[in-house]
Amino acid sequence: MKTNFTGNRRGFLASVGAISLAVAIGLSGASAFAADRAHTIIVGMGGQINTLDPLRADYNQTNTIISAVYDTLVTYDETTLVGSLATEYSYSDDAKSISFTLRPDVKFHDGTVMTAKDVAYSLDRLKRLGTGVASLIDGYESTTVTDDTHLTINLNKPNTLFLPSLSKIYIVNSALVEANAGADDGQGWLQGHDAGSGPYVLGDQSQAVVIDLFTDYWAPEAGRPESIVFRRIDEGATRVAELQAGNIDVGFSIPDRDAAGMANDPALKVVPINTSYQADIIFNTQVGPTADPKVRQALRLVYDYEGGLRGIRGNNGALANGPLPARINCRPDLPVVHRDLEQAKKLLEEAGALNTTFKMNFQPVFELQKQEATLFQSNAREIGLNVELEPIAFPNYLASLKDPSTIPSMMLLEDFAQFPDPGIMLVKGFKSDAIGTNRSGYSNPEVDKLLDEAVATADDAKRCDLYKQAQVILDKDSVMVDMYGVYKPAVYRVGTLAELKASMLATPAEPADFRLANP
Amino acid sequence: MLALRVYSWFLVRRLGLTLLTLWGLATLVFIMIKMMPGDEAQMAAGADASAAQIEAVRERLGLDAPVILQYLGFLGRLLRLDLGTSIVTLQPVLSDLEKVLPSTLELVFFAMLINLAVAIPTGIVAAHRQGGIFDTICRVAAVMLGGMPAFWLALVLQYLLGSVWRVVPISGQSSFGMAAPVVTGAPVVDAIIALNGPALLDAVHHIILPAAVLAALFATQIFRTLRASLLGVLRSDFIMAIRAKGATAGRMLTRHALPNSLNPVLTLSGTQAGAMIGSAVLVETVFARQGIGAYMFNAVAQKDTFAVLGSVMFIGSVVCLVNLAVDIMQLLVDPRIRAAQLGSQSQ
Repeated sequence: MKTNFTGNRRGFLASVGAISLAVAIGLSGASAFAADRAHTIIVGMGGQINTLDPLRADYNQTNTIISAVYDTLVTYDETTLVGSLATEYSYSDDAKSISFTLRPDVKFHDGTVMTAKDVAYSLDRLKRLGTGVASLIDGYESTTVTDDTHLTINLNKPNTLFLPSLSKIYIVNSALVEANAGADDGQGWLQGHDAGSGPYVLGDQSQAVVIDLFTDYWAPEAGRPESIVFRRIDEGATRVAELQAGNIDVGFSIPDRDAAGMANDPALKVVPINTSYQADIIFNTQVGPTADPKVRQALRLVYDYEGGLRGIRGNNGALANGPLPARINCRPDLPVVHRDLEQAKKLLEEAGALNTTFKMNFQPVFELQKQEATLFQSNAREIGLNVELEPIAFPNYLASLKDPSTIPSMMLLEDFAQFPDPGIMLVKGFKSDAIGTNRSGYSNPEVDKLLDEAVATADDAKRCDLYKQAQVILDKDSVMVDMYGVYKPAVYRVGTLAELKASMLATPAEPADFRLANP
Repeated sequence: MLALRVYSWFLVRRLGLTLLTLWGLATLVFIMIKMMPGDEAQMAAGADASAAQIEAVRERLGLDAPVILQYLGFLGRLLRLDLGTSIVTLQPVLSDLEKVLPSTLELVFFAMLINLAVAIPTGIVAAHRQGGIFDTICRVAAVMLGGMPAFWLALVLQYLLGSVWRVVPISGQSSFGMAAPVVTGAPVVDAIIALNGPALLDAVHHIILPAAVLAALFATQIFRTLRASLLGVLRSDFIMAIRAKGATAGRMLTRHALPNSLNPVLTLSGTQAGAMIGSAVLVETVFARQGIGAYMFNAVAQKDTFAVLGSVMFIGSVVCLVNLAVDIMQLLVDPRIRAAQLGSQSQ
C-alpha cells in the first residue's frame, strides 16, 4: 500500500512556518538583563572570574569586581592610606594592636547596618580559611569589639604592615554569610552572592557579571554608571575589535601594539595605566653561578634596557631605578642601570664566569616576556656569554621557591604590589624567613634587621628611612635586573567615560571610580 | 530469541568496554595531573601564602594523604557520580560543568549540523562528477581548509565578517539586553524555552560564525571520507545493474550509493563529536563564548586537579557514549555489520 504524504507534509511545513514566524515576531520580549544602555558601561576583560568571594581578592579579576561591591576599613588615595569604613585608626605604642572607629551610617546591600561585629567576623573568617588574601593578615590574633562602632585588632607581634594590608580585606555582612555558611564557611555561597556594602550590588550573572548601582551607598557620587557589565573576552584581538565596533565601552589589558594602533582613532582614548608593575629578572642569590654578587652585577650590565622598552614594550613604561616600582613611596634615589658590555665582561672575567652557561626561565604565556628573554640572550651573546632559555609555568615556578636549590638561576617576570606599600614587597620578597615568596632566596642579616625594625615601628618617617636603607643594600647586592616599570594600556570609547583613573589596588582601574561622560 | 541474546551480549560487552575505557582515562589523567609540576595546595592558598598557610590548606583539602589514597578516594567518589570539588572555585566540579557545558554542547551541535549539511551534499556531488571542475575546487578547498589552524581561521573570519562587513557579531553569545533568562545555559535553547523570538534570532546570529569555524576543519574530513567511499561504491557491480535498469542519477546516488557509503561517515562523525568538544576551546576563546574549553584551560593553568579530572571524565564519557550510539546505529542500519556481529556471536 502506498500512502500519499503530500497533503500532510504541506500541513506540517505550514505549521512549522507559523510557529517559526510567531517565535520570530516574538511572543515574549523578556530579557534576563534589561538595563539602560546609555547609563551602562560594558567592560571587556580577560581571564576567568573564579569566584566573587572577597577571600580571593588576590585574583585580579575577582578583585576588580568586588572592589565595587564591598568596602574596606582603609583604602588608598593614590599612594596615601586613608580611611574608608573607618573614620579613625591608630596603632598602640607597641604596634601590637590597632584601634578603629567606624562610620555609623554604613548599610549592607540588604539594609543591615554595618557594625564592628562584621569586621571581627570578616577577619576571623579569613584566619579560619587561611587562603587568598589571608596571607596578607598573617599575625592576626583576634578582634575586640568595644561597641558597634569601636573595635581593636590584636596582633601576635608588632606589625605595621597590617594596617595597609586592610586595604585589601573586604568586610562582609556577618549575619548573611553566617546564614549561608554551609560546610565551607560561605565560600560556595559567596562565589556568586553579594554580602557587601559597596557602591554596587551584584546583579545578573547569567551571561556576564553585572553590577548595579546601590542607591543607599554611604558615599554617593554623581556620574557613576547605573550598571557595569563585565564581559570575559580572553583574546586581545577580539577585545580590540569589540571596542572599535562600539560593543564594549572599556577594554582592559589591551596589547601594547594594538594600543599604539588605536592611539590615532578619535573615537577611542588610550590610557597607559601606570601602577606598580615592574619587569625584573630575579637571580638565585644562594645557589649556582648567580650566587656570586660580581656575576649578578655583570649580568645587570648586559641587557639593552632602552632597546627593550622601546622595541618590545612600545615605550609603555619607564626605566627602573631600584627593586621597587616607581609609584611606591619610600624609595631611595638610585641610579638607572645602563648597558655596559665592557664592564660586564671585565666583572665576569674577575669572577671566572665568562665561560659559564646561564639558564633563564620565563613564562611562555606572556609573549612580551618571551621577547625580552630572547633579547637578553642575544645581548649576552655579544660578549660570548651563553644563556639558555627555558619556559616555566607559574605553578611550577611557585613550587620551586620552597628551596633555594630549586629556585631558577634567573627568572624573568613582572611583579606588582597588592597595595602601594614598600613594606609588603620588601618583607615578602627579600626577608630570609619569607620562604615561598622570597623569589631570590636572598638572605642578608642586615636587611632582615632593617625590615624587622621597620615593621615594628609606628613612626612613619623612621619606617620609610629603614625601607630606603634596605633598598640601597638590595641594589648594591644586585639581587635582580630591574628592567622597567611597565604600563598596562587600557582603552575606552570617547563619550562613554569622563576619564579612566588608574588604581593602585585593582589593576588597571576600580569600577567604582568610573564616571559617565554624559551622566 | 538468539538474535535478542546476541544483541544483549553485544550491548553488555560494549558497555563493559566503555567503563574500562573511562577507568583507564581517569587513571591516566590522574597520573598526568599529579606528575605536572606545581603544588596544588599552593595554588589554592594563593601565590603570597606563607609555608604554614600552604600546609594548612594541604591538610584541609586532603592533599597531604598519599597519592594512592587520593586516587582511591577519587575513584570512590566517581562511582557515586561525584567529580570532586574544585580547589579554585570551591564548588562541586559537576555544578561548575553544568554551568559551562550546555553552551559548548550547543556550539558543537550547530557545528555538527553545519559540518554534515555542507560536507555530505558536497561529497555526493564531487563523487558524482569526479574529475570535474566542482570536484577539483572542492578537493583543493578541502586541503586548504583542513590545513588551516582553527585559531587563525577564526580570527580572519571574525575580522572580515564581524568587524569589516558586520554581517555577524564579533563575539559573545548574545547582544546587550537580548538574552533570554537562563534555564539550561545554552542560549538558543533558553530562547526557545522562553518563546522569545528576538532572543532566539540573536542567539543563532551569535553562534553561526563560531560553529562554522569549528565545522570547517571537520567538514573537510567528512567530505573526503564520503567522496572516497562513494567512489568505491559507484564502481560496484550492483550500481551498474541499477543504472542498467534505468534509474536516474539522483535516485541511484541517494537511494543506493549513499546508504552504502555512509558507514565510514557515521563512524567518523562519532569520533568528531568528541574532538569538537576538545577543539571548542580555541573557538570559545576567540569568540568569547562561555564553555568547557575555557573552564578546562583555566583548570590546567591553576593545577585544579579535580576540575581537570572532572572535565576530562565528562568529555570522555560523552565521546564513549557517542561512539556506543554510533556502534549501535551501525548495527541497526548496516546488514553487513549485523551479520558479522551475529555470526561471530553465534559461532
